[in-house]
Amino acid sequence: MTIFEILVLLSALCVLIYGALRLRNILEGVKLGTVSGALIVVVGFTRYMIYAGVLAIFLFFTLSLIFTDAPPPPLLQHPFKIQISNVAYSISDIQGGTSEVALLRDLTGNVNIVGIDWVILTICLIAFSIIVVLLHWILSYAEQVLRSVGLRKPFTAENTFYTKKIALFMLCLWLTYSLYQVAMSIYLQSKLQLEGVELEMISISIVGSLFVIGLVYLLSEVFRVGYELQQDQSYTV
Amino acid sequence: MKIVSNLDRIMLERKISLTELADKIGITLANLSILKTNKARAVRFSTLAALCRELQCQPGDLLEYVEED
Repeated sequence: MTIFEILVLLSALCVLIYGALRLRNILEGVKLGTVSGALIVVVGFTRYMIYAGVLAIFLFFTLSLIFTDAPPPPLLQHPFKIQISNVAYSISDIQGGTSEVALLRDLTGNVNIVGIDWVILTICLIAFSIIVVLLHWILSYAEQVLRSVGLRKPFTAENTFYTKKIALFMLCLWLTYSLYQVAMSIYLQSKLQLEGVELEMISISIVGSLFVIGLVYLLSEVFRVGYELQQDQSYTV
Repeated sequence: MKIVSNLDRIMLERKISLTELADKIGITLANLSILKTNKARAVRFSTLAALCRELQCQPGDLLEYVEED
């Protein structure tokens, strides 16, 4: 068995072990048997996929970088499109290999970035870590809210806190991803100097993302007012 | 400014316990205790009427408006 195969098996084993640990939480949602229960299953499964994916990627890529001689995969996000003759191509198109891409590669020369670019790797790891942590908290809190809704006790002080935090973490997630794209674009612009081609950065979603975050914050206000009304009701003799 | 309850004073004058009064007017002991300890935020007219009936008093005897410092 090669080291590569061992790494793949090790990654798969960790994913399965983690899945078994999460199964209990996921089954809680099944027991509730309501729409909220179904959503708990979905959120629990999403969390499992995210953590399992992170674990697998970390083990596979990191250990393969250390223990194998194979050229590492370019850990490169592609915030750029390259415009040639008024047609936009993404960098991943160029690094890919379709017939159009092959022609483009002939015209522009070798635009592949091979080997580890430690700056890009660092930016990716930092942004990736922050995003995973934020996603963990967002999904944890969402699960708590869904659980209380499933138990027919939605208007609690805790749910007000959770939904406010979800909105805040979503804002942080959007900021992190936007800053990551800006950082990558600033760095890549210095690295990719192609004669006769124009690098055009893709747009960062502002209105759509902030609208959704605003809706979640509004939901936290609904929970807060609902909790206050419930308190008034419980103290009505 | 707030409304305070004089329920404890009137219960003492009528020599009736909280449990007995709660049974007679048909609300839980916990709710009546909330009223007695001035934690209530609202009182239903039906509850007020039942209290006045059992304690042989007027609403003004039970509830008093005080200025807060």
